[in-house]
Amino acid sequence: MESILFYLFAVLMLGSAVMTVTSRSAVAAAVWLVFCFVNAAGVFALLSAPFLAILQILIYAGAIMVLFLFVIMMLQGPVLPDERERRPWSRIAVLVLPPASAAVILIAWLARGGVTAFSGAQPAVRGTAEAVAELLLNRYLLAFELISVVLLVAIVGAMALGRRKEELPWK
Amino acid sequence: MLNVETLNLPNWADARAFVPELVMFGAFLAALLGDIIAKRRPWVPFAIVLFGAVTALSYAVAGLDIQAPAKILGDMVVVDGMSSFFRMLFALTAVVTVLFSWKSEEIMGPGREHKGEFYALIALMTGGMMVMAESTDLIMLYLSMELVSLTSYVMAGWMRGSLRSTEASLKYMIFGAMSSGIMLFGLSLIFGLTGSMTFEGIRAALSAGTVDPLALLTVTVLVLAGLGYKIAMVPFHFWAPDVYEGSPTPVAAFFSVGPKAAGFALMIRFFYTTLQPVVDQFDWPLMIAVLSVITMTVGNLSAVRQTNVKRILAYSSIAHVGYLLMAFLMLTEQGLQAILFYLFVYTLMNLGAFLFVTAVNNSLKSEHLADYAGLGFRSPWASVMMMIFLFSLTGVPPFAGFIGKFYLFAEVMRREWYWLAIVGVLNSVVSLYYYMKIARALYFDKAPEGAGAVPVPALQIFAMALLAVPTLLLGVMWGPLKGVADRAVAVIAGL
Amino acid sequence: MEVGLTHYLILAGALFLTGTAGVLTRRNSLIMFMSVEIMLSSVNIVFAAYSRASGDLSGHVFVLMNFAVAAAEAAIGLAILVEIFRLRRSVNVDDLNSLME
Repeated sequence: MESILFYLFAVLMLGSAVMTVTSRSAVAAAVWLVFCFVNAAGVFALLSAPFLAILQILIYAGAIMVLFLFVIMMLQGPVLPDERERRPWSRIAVLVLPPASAAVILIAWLARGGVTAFSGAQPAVRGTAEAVAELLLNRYLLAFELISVVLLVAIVGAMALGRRKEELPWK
Repeated sequence: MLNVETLNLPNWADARAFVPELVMFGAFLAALLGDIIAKRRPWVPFAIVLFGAVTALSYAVAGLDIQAPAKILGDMVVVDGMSSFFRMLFALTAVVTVLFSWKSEEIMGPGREHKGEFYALIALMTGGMMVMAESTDLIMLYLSMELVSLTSYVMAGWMRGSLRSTEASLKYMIFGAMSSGIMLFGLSLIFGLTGSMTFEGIRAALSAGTVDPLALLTVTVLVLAGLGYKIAMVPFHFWAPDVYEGSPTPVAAFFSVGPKAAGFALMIRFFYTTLQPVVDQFDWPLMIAVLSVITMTVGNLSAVRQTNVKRILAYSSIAHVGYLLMAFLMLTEQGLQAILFYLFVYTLMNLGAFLFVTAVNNSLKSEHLADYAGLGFRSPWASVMMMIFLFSLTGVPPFAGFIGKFYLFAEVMRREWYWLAIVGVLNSVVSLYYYMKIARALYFDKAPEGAGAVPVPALQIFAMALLAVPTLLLGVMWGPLKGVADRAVAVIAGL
Repeated sequence: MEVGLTHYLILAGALFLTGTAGVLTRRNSLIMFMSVEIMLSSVNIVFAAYSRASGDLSGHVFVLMNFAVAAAEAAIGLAILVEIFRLRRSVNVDDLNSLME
């Protein structure tokens, strides 16, 4: 069961990532990226990380992608496909290179010593909100404080860059 | 359930060891609030941040005679001789940059916005750089680096409405995000291969020899990509000239020394702690030697062709990264002493050279070499100090840069990498050419007809003198600084 | 064949290369940012996979931090992008040439 789900999520995630990178229009890319992130949540769930799976949906697919789509709508311009993007080699590079390298890595890995399986059928530790919080507020308390400063920089920076007195030029 | 009783809450001992960082973060918040409360009075945040930086500087200097490394909050950060050294360096950089920005037209000129937030962000970045120099955990490494990077993206784009500044910011951001992604991939593999987040745990796992050398090499290259971007090492240097040219000059001055030194601090911390036991298991010395040669050669040869002084200095700062990398070869203690000494001297002279560009930019409104003609007579004091910085950057006696280079080359010779030393010396000769091109413009080229004096405010002369006097003094009396660097290396955690 | 650590690592590796290729080949800076997000996602999968293999939840904490940093980066990056668009009416990096000498 796990392997079926894994292959489902992996193929969908990788496929939508390739579509994101190759779409000509930014809107299409953003929608594919949302789909990619939803599948990433599935992968996290398989890795016994339910807390991360939920956050992946909330933060990535929710907040970050809404921000992206909001900016795309606001700018209007980049929605239109750019003629200069029609260079076939870049598409081919993106389509061929990653899977080919992945195949090479896979073969190299198998030749070196086979697939490493997760030990045991049932994972010993589950990344629930409680288990992660225990670690976050104990050992990683300083990191937790520092991340709040990083978010504060984002607020101050975005305000400093975005705030201006006059009207938007395209209005 | 989460039990509050067992939480590892910070105590007073932790807070006392962490004073300079707390002061800088506090100054950031206070300056933001001060800017909101005292509208249109940018001197309020200016004074707050200046006071904070001076306080942090005095704490850092007092902390130089630290006796033993102190770990804070588990294994996240460590306060030892090296962190005290870098705290001093960063606080000094902040003091000079803040003093200098006050009279810079690019930051404080009419029509400029967000004057108060500028000082707040300088304080924040200084605090972030201090944390970078103290991190002993992958999570802290990443977070402190991102804190500094995100702040620098904002500051690079500080000149609102200027296309060059905004472009510099976007380029910096996209490729910075990419290189930090590459580094992160390396960090995640390190976590997997060694099963540890702390540098000491990684060192223990590597010493045990369970990690495949090929995997180790891959991971090292990935991490070097991220850190190399921060210190502008070739081939991750291409952003530096554009960003330095596009950003406001005081910001470029700050970038060329602060984050670069912080990147080196992180590199020292990470590679010295983790790789030292396995340094001869894979070709680390050869890899660093090649990177060092490429970096200094590309930097110097590109600088020769430039006509914009900011770009010349940008490429020259890339070349200096190459010199510094030479001492990284064998990850020895002598090498580390040489790196610390040179980083201090480099901060003095490179910051000084950039500040000269800021100072003349105020009235000249140009950074082109052709417009620098005859400046030696149009603003005599600033030009004399610029000459000191240029000679020191070239590395001729009796300036501090010579002593710094001497220690770097001594380390290379001691490890018997003679070809590397020869390449380094040849590169210094090339650098003489473009530094003297600036000197010639200042003193030998005729100023255009009717060109008047270029006044430099007294505050800026004072800030430049703060850098020029030590550059001169350290060239003849380098003992004290060498002692400080040796002491910093003697009391270092994890070696 | 049972799905193990290796499978997840290969998925992450392929995603990472896709993202890197995207940043390097695309000229639309919005899509370049999205490619960076794909790279970060691949890193998250590596951390989560190794955390499951070793039973050490530190990897999850790192992923959590990564979420927050990605959000902060997106906020600042998009603010810069909007500013570029105001000045240039384009987000194509080929149009950004005022710094070429």
